[in-house]
Amino acid sequence: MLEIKNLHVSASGQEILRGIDLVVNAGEVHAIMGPNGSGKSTLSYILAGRPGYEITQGSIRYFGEDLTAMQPEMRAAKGIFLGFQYPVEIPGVATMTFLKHAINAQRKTRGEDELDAMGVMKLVQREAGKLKISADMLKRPVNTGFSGGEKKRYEILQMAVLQPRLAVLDETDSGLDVDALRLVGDGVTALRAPDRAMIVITHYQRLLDHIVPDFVHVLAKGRIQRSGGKELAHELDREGYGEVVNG
Amino acid sequence: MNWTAKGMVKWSMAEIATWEHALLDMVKAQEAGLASLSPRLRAVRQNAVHCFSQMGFPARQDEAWRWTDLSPLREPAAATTKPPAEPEKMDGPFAGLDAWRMVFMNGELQTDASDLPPGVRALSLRSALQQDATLADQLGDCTGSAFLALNTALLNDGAYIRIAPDIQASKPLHLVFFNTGSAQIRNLIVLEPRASATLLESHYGPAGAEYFVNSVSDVQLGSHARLAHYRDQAESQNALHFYYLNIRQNAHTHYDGFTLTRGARLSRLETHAEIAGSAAQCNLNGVSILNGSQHGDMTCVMNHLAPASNSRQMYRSVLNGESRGIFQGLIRVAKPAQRTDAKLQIKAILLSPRAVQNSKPELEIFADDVKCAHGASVGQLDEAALFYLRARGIEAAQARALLTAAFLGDAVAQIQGSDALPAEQIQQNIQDAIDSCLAQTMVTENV
Repeated sequence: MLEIKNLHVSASGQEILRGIDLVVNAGEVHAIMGPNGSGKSTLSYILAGRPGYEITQGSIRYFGEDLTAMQPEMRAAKGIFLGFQYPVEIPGVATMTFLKHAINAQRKTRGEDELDAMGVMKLVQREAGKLKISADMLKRPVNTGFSGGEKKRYEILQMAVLQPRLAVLDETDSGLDVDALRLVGDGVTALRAPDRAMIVITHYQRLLDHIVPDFVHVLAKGRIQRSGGKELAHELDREGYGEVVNG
Repeated sequence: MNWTAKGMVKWSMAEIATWEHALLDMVKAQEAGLASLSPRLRAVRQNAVHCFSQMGFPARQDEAWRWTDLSPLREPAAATTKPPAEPEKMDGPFAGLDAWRMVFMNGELQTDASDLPPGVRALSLRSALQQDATLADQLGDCTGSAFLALNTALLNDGAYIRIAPDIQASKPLHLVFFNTGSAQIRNLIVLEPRASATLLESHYGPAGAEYFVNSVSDVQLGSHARLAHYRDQAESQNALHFYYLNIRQNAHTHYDGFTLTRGARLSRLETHAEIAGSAAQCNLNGVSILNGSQHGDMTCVMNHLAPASNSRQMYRSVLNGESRGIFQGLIRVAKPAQRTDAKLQIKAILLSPRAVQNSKPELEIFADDVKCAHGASVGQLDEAALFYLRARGIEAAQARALLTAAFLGDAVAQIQGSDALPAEQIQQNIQDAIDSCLAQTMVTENV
């Protein structure tokens, strides 16, 4: 599904990723762990197509196509979903309006019929219930006045209604208490599917108790330093990044 | 005639002479057509010709006009009148509303409002002047504005609206101004004590038509009167649109105004609100959407003369292409106007590196117990928000339109509506008009 080769990325003239190689197949869950400033968020932005980053070397292929040539909205339409570490508050844009636009933009690109307001509402309410997102929250403007935990649950709600093929979750656990973490973890786990892959970016192992990865990669200094199975996450939790990165 | 008054420096003698001749010709031509013109009205017009001759058109050395260049008025097309055609079908925010409608073509009444209830008068100003010659006296003051003087000098027709004391007009009055050629339009709107009304104005013309429309509206609110007054300026992209709005409020009056500016190559809305009575409320809000080489000027003087009144002004503009937006807002609080509460907020977003916004909020406060706030900002769309929307599959142009509509929505949300036109309905209609206007504007956006 996703093939990243020797990826080098700079932002504002500074090299952040220095040669990433990663292959993600359908049905797999990959965890990317690493200390602060290791380039984890940059990798997520590069996959989603955020402006401001320059790919200086290497390639990213998604279902065989050159991902880097696509606009962010095209990537989304082709099934890439970024769960933001810091979801953006957009006052003045109603949540339901936003979701209707998002769902239909993707359906349109894929040549599917657009959903009407009722259809969108039904779809959203079904998923909102599972994530304990209240009707009141859906009435508010996008992310506006949401707590940290609400914002993250709302990201997962979007993932659930948009049904991506590749979900990149950037520090979805940050700012969550234990209960919210379980809710989000269960929400994500429920979305695991044979035709869907996930890249879960996290600083801590605790999220991976809820979303059990198939592979764990340690990203530091702009490179993947080690890869392994889920037990690597426990090792990191025990030993700290220092041991793994330097030792 | 003396044309050497100050402020005329940028106009050559030949250009001035052209205008002078055109003006006198127009006055003469109308005199012939208006045999019934009362001596009173004739005197008012002659005085205005004199006023205009003294002032001439303002030049950019004039502080109130420093950002608006009137050179398009030099082109002869602006001064000539073209034969009218049939009014085109109107769209925009007020088209579908149940209203008493008056249709004007180039400022002359074409279709009367029908089924008006007792106490609600809405007729052509020309007819009103024939019925009551003394009305002319209310139109006479043309000091301080060349456009007001020009309008009065050529005073011909417009709307005369009068709501009798204690009458609540149950439907909006909708003035439809369809323009194909140049016109001077004069409206007089009088609400007697405790009356209330909802007044809508649509200004539009055939796509691409070149014309110069100079409108003046005088609004007088008797004590406890309430007026909701909403305007849609959707003139042809080649039109020159000038609008001078004079509001006079007495005690306990409520004025709720909103203007959507989206048409004309060069436009100026100049509002003078005079709060002469205590405990009055004056709201002036607006949205401007400018594109291409459009120039939109909003100039407003909020004059608090009496104690304990409130004024609220919120303006939002979005500028694309090489357009230019001007906002000049002065809040003046006279010494007797203690406990005035006045706010003015102007925000503009530039979608293109070549668009320009000039904002100048000003306070002049002579009372010592007041609450006054003003602020102005010019910025760009939030890149983080834009990426968030795009990352969800929303195309860049649509994402920009959504964010822009949300930004402009702040001003739309201020519209208070009336019993005859609830806030939710008018806000929705205006927001829809904004959305469709943005859909067109964003197409030409350069990233």
